[in-house]
Amino acid sequence: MTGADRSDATARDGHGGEHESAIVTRHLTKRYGKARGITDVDLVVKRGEIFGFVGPNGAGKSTTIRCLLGLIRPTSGSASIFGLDSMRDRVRILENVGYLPSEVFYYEGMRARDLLAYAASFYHRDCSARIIELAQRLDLNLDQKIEDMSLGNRKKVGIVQGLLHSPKLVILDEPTSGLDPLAQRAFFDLIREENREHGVTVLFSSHILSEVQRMCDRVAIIREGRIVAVKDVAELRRSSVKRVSLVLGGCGARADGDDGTRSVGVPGASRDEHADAVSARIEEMLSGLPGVRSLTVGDSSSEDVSFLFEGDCNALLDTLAGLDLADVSITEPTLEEVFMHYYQPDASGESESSGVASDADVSTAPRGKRD
Amino acid sequence: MNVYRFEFGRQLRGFLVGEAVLLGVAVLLMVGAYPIYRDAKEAVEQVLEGFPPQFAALFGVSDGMFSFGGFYRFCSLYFMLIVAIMSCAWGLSVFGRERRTKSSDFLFVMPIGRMRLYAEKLAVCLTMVAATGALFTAVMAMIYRGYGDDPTAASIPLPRILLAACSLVGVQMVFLAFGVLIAVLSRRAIGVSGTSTMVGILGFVLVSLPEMTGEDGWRLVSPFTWFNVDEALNHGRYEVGYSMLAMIVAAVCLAAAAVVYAHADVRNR
Repeated sequence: MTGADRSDATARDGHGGEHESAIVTRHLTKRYGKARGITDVDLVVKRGEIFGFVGPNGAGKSTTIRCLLGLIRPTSGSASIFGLDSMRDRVRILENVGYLPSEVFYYEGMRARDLLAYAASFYHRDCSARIIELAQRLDLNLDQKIEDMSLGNRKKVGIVQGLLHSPKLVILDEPTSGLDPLAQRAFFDLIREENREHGVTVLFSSHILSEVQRMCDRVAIIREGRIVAVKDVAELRRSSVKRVSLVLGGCGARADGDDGTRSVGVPGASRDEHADAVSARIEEMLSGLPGVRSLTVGDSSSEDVSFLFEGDCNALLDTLAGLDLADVSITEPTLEEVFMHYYQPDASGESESSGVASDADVSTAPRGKRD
Repeated sequence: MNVYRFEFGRQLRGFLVGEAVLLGVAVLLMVGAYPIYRDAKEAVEQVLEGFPPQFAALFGVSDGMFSFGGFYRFCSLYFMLIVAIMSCAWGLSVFGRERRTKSSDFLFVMPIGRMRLYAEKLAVCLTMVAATGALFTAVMAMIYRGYGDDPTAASIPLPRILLAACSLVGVQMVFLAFGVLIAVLSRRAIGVSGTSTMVGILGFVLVSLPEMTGEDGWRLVSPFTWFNVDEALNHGRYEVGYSMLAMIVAAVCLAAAAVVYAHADVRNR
C-alpha cells in the first residue's frame, strides 16, 4: 500500500475526513492512587505531522502514550486516535498504529524472524516483504535469537515490528536509546521517509532535545504531568528567550572615567584575584537585571559570561554598555535551553521537583553561577 | 487463532513432559506396583497395622487397597496431585507469559480484543486438559483390560473405571482456574513451577482433613475430594453437590480472571 493509498484509505474509512486530527486528548487524566500520573492533558496532533513530546523522566510522557494505546484506562478525560475512542475502539485503532516502547522485551527463545512473523499475524495483510525490507535497511539479522542480541539490535527488532504493517500513526517512546549513531541516522531517515512519502503521522516522545529539534514540526512540553507549552519548534527557538554570550575585555567592567565609564578591579592584585573581582562584579551587575537566568561566569582564562535573557532589551543593552567587552553575541537559544526555560522554578518560589533545571544550571558554571 | 497456535507451540514441550510423567506413573503404579501389592497382601497388611490411622489416611492408605478398585483409589490421589500441579502450571504459564518476559507491551498493542486474547489462551489450556483426560482415560482402559483374570477388576464395569478416570479432568479444571486467576491477579511475575507445586501440594494435604478429623464438612475446602472416586467406582456417579461446587468454583475463578484480564491496566514491568 502506498502512502497515497493509505491517506485515501484514511479519508474514506468513515472515521473522519482528511482534516481530522490524528490524535486528540481532552482533559486526559490518569492517577495511580494518590500518585500523580498525568493531569488535564490536552493535545492535538495533526495528520501527517511529526509531533514531539518532550519532558524529563517521570513527567508523564509514557503514561500519556499508554492511555492513547489503551494499555491503561484514563481516570478521566478522553483520548481519540483518528476520531476513534482509545478504549472503546482500541482494536480498530491499533490496526493503524505502530508503537515502539522505550524498552523492548520479547518472548524468550525466539528468533527475530519468528517474532516478527507472529507480530505480523495480527494484521490482515502480508507483511513478509516489508519485514525483509526494513531489516535490510536497519542491518538486522533476522535469524538471530532475540535474547542473544545487543540492546541496539533488539531495538531494531522493535522498529521493524512497529513499522511492518505500514501504520498511519507511529508512536515512538524514547526510540533511540541503545541505538548507535549509524543506526540512529538510519532510523531517523526511515521515519522521515514514512512521514514524507507515506503521510505517516509520528508522535515522538523523547527527553533528547536535539532529536526532537531535528525531527519534529511541533512540540509539546510536559512537566509534572501537565502540558506546559505546545509550540512550533521554529517558534520555540524564535521565542523571546535569548542566549547572551559575552567575552570580556582586559579589565571587565569599566571604572568611572573621563568618558563616563566604570572599571572594576583591585589595584596591585594578581591576575586570578583580579579575575575573581571582575567576575563578582559582573555577577552583581547582571543578576540585578530582571530577566537574566542561568548566569554563568567563565574562569580567569576565558572570562566568558553567558546567560539566558527574557526581558527588556533596552535594559540589557544599558547594562552591557557598562562593561568592557571584547565580543558579544545574542543568539536564539538551543531547544535544550528553551526546554530548560520551561523547567525553571515557578516565580512563586515553588520548589522544582523535576531536577532538570538544577542539573543544567550547575553544569556550565566553573566558577560562578546565579539563577 | 494465531495466539492459540503460538501459545500451544510454546506449551507443547512442557505438556508432553507432563503427559509422559502422568502416564508413566499410572503405568508404573497400576501395572508394576498393583500386582506386587495384591500378591503380598499379608505382608503389607502387617506393615500397615503399625501405621496410625490418621497417618495412613494422609497418604490414602486403606484396607481396600488390595483390590483393583481400592488400589486405583489409593493411586488416584497421586494422579490428582500430578494433574493439579500440571494444570495450575499451564494457567500460570500461559497467562503469566507476558509478565514474566516483560513483553506485555508487545502483545497488548496488537489489534486484538483482550477478551479474544483471553479466550484463545484459555482454549490452549482447555485443549491440554481435554487431551490429558482423553489420554489418561484411554491408558486406564487398556490397563483395566489387562486385568481380565483379576476378579476384583472384573467386578467393576469398564464405564465406572472410565468415569473414575474422568475425575482427573474435574481436578484439572479447578486447578487450572486457580492457576489462571493467580497469574492474572499477581502484580509481579511469579515462578511457574514453584507456585504450581505449592498449590498442588496444598490440595494434596487438604485431602487428609476430612479423614483425620472425621468431619465431612472439611471436604468443602478440599478440591481433591470433590470428585469422589469411590462413588464413581461403586455407584457409577459423582456427588452432585460437590460436582456443582467444583464447577462453580472453576467458573467463578475463570470469569473473575477474564474480567481482570480484559479491564486491568497493562503494566510494563
